Amino acid sequence: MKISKELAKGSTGLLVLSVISKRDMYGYQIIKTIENASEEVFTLNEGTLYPILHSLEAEGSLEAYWSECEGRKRKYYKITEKGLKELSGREQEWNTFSTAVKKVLGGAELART
Amino acid sequence: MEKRFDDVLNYLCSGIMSKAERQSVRDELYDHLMCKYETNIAVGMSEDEAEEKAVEALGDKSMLKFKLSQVHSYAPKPTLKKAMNLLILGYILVSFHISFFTGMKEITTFIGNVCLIVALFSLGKANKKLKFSFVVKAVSLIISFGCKAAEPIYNLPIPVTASTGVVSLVLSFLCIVFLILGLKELVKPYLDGYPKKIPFDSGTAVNLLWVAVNTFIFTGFALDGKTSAEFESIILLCFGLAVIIFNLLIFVRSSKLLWNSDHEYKIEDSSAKKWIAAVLAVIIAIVPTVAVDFALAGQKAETSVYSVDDTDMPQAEYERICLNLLSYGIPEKIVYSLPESEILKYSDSINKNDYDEETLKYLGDPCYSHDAEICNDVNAVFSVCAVGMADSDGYPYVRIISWVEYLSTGKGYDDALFWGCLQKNLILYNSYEAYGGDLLLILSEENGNIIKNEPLDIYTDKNGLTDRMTGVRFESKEKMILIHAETFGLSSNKGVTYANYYLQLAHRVSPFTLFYRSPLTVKENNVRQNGMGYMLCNENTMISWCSPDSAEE
Repeated sequence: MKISKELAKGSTGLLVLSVISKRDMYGYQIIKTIENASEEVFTLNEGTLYPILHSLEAEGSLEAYWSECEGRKRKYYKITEKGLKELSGREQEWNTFSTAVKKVLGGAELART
Repeated sequence: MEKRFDDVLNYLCSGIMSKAERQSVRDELYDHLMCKYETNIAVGMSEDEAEEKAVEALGDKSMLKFKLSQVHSYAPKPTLKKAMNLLILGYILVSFHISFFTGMKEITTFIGNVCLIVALFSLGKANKKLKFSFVVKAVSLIISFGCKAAEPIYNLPIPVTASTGVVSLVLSFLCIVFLILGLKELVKPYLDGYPKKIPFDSGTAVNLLWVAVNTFIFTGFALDGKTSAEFESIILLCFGLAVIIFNLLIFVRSSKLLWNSDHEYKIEDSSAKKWIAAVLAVIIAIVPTVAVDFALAGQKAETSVYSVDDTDMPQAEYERICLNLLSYGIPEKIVYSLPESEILKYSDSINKNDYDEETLKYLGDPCYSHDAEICNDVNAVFSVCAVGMADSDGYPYVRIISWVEYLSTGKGYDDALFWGCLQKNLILYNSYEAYGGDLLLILSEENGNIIKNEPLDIYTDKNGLTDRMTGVRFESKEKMILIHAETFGLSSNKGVTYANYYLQLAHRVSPFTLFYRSPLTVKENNVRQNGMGYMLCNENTMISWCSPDSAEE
C-alpha cells in the first residue's frame, strides 16, 4: 500500500538518517534500501532525496566522501556524531507522534464500538 | 546518451551559484541517472526507454532545480526575512525626501542606501537576477557617491557629472528590474498555492513612475527653472508617495508570501564570513565617498579681523565717493562695509544727481533686488547696482556692484548647506566684454565685529553648461554678504558707444538675469550723445532688463 505524500513528507529525513546510520551509502542505494526495507511502502520521489541529503550534509548530520566505481565518481554519505544525536531526537519525536496517533485512533475505535 | 543527461543535468544544476558545488551535484546526479539507467536495461528496457524512465523517475524537474538552488544558496539562514525587512526599510528611507532638520535627508538616504546594499547583497546569493541587482546597485552607488565626492576636488565639468548621474540613474532602474525579476523567481514555486499573487504589475508601475519622475526632473533642469518651484515640489511629492506605496505593496506582499511558504535557506557554517563580506561591500561602496564629503564639509576658510580702514585715503574723498555710490541706491550697509581700498576704485564715479534730465531718463533705476530661496532652508537676497564712471578724459564706463545677502529661514546656519547651494545652484555672474572683474568680498558680522573670510578669490568655472563658483570655502554667518564688483568696458554699435554688460545672478529655480546696456551718456567727437537705455521689466517670474524699443536692439 502506498501512503500519501503529505504523511511521508515529515519522515523522509528520519528514514534517510536511519538507513545511513547502519552503513555508508550513496543516493541511489538509499532509495533502494528504503524501498526494500519498507516493502515498497515508501517509494521516494528520486529527485527529492538529493536536496534532503545536501541539507543534512550542510547541517553537519552527514559527511560525504567520493569514491570511484564503474568508471564513475560516486558520492557516499556517512552519519556523524551530530547526525546520530539528530536521529535519536527524531526517533523519539516520531515515537511520541505515532503513539499519540495510535491512542487517538484507538480512542476513535472505542467510541465507535 | 550522455548528451541527453547533460541537458537534464545542466538544467537541474543551473541555479547553483558555486561552480565547484554545481560540478559536485552534477557528478552525483549523473551517477544516480546511470544507476537507474543500468537497472532499467537489466529489466529489459531499450536504451532510449531506459534513459527516458531514468529521467522521469527524478520527478518534477523544475521543483528539483529550485530546491537544489535553495539548498546550495550561500545566504545566511536568517537572511531572507531580514533582507526583505532591510529592503523595505531601505526603500522607505531612500524614498523619504522630507527633511525636518538640516542634513536629515542626507542621513536618511545614507542609512537607506546601507540597508538596501546589505539586503541586496544577502538576497543576491539566492539567484542570479538578485545577484545582478546587487552588483548594479553597488556600481550605481559607487558612481553617484564617487562623482559627488570627486566634484569639489577635481572640479568636474557639468557634462561629466550629468552623464555619470544619468548612468547612475539607469543602473538604479536596472537594479529595480532585476530585483523584481529575482523576487518573482524566488517565490515562483509558491505562487500557485497563494490566494493573492504578488502584484508584479505594480512593479511595472513603479518602474514607469520612476522613469516619469526622472524625466520630469531632467526636463526641469533642461528648462532651467521655467516651471515654478511650488509646482515641482507638489509633483515630486506625489510621485514620491506613489513610489513609496507601490514599493511597500510589492515588498510587503513578497515578504508575506515567503513567510507563508516557510521558505528557508540552509546554510554553510561560515555565515559570519558572509556578513563580514557584506559589511565590507558596504564600506567599499559608500564609506570612502561619504568620508570625503565629510572631510570637505569640515574645511573652513581662515578668518581674520576685518577693517574698512586699510588705506591712507583722505576722509573728504572717502565721503565723496561713498555719497556717489549711495546716490545710485546702494544701501549704506554695503557701502560702509567696503574697505577703503575698494572705495578708491570708484574715485571716477559720477554722482547720479549730476546727470542731466535727458541722461536720467535713460538711466532709470540702476539698482535691483530679488528675494529667492536658493534651495531648501537657504534664503537669500540678490542685488545689483550699476555705478556711472568716467575716466580722466571723461570717457564713460560702468562699474557694477552685486551682492548676495544670506538669510536664514530660522533653521540655523550651515556652512556646507550654504556652500552647496551657492556652488550648485547659484550662477554668480556671466559677463561678456567685461574688463577686469576684480573683487569678491565675503563679509560677515558676528558679535558686533565685522570679520572677513579668506581667501577672497572666488573664481568661476566656465566649463560646462553654466558658470559655477569654485575654489573657496568659508564660514557662513548671519547677515553674511557676498559682494562682487566688476568693471565693464565699452562697445560700439552703429556709431553709438555704450558700456555693455550681461549679468546673471541667478539660481536654477528662479533665475534673475540682467541684460544691460549702459544708461550713461557717451562722449563722441566731443558731442554728448545719449546712449541706448534699457529699463527693468518683469515677464512672469523672469526678471530682466530689456529695451523699451526692441527694434533698437
